[in-house]
Amino acid sequence: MKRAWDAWVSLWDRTESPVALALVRIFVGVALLADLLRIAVLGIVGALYSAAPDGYAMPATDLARALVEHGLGPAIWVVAVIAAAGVALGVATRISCVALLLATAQLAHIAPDSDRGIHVAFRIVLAILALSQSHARWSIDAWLWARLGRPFPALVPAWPRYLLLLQLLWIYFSAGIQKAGAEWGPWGGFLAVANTATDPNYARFDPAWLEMFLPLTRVATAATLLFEVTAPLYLVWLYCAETADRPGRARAWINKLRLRWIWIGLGVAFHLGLAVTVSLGVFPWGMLALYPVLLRAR
Amino acid sequence: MKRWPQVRAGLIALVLAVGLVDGCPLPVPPYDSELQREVVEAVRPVQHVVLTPFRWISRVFHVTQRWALFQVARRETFRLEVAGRRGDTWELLFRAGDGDHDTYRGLLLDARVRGAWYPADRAAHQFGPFSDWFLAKVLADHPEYAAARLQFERVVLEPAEGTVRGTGAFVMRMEKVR
Repeated sequence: MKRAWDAWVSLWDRTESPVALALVRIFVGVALLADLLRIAVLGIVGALYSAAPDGYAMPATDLARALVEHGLGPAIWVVAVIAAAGVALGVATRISCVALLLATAQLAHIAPDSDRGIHVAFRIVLAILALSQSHARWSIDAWLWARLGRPFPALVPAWPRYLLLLQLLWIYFSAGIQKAGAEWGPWGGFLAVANTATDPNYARFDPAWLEMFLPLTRVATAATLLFEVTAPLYLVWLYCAETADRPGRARAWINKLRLRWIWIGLGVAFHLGLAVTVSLGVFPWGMLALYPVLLRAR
Repeated sequence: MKRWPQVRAGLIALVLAVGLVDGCPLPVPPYDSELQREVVEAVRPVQHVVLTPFRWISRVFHVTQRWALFQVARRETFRLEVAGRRGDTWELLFRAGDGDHDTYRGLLLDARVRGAWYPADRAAHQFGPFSDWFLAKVLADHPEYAAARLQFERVVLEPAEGTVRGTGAFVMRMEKVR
């Protein structure tokens, strides 16, 4: 028991290069900034975050109600935009992360139906980034502290990346085991992807192309489900890659078959396929923004 | 060993445990099967008790560890239509998936906006206020119309033929007169 606890403590006490965390911070900041600015491009900031007759907000908490009553919904959006830019650029990074987390949570309380699953994921990621040293590389903060003669260390705590990795894998696994519709399996003809790409409320293109590519979409449905429910196995593939110098036939085969890279490739293909064929907002890009945590720190 | 790494490792273990309990997928009626019901009824009170001290986190930050992405993708769904009335004639402005009637396409199919009207197994939470605001916008944008309406046609997706089959049955009709 003592040995297991010591191993657990030392796992979460590791340090590594801040590159992966910095990339996640930049990508998440940019994705959220683009997502928020799109609301302005559509000209609906006031509509989303104001109550009738100016908009259709339905505040879900007392604080959100008070903000909307005082016409402050759009002001919260402005705070979120500034904070998202701060996160992407690494300006007062930890404060920006917390501000963005709180602002987007309020926006979700003000307009619950405009808050999607990816925004929930972003808030969890922001909480972890706020506790990390993601600003130790490629940030205004790092540049400033280096100029002041107090540069960030070359190695930073690795535990935030490990938590983000577990979060990413859990999102996929949880989504995979909850896919209850028959269309995800053989009894429904593996039609889930084809149905989604045909749905006029989601599809980017005329569904006529599906007539020719239906078999491919069946494979894509099966691959999506396989990709999601096998997400926890990524930890096994990663462990085998990390300990490649140790003996063992299974380990050697797993590394030789590049199962880890196959899984990452499936994920990238899954999200790019979604981005091209259906309109899901920031979801595919937001998920890909987390992929740097899958890379091994060297 | 230093104290802080031990405290941190303990806190991380707690976070992971609470996250797993929160994320435990417990189907709710009518989505649960007879077989699941017994297990769910035993586990749900335990989940409720364990999560009680941490519920404020979910409430304040609007977060959860239950992820349901495209749980179902049924062939039977709904297609949004928007129309304006000129005299006695309804003129179609928008129909989802119809390239000839795509006014408001960018707005209505945006993921954040779609959440307020997309009908899954029930109307969206903000559907009422959304339709009221949107129909007022349509009337403001089109002074030639005396009324505006939105409604959903029940449709069947036919991916094998690459088409969407309309049924002619409409639901959730909302109308606003100038």
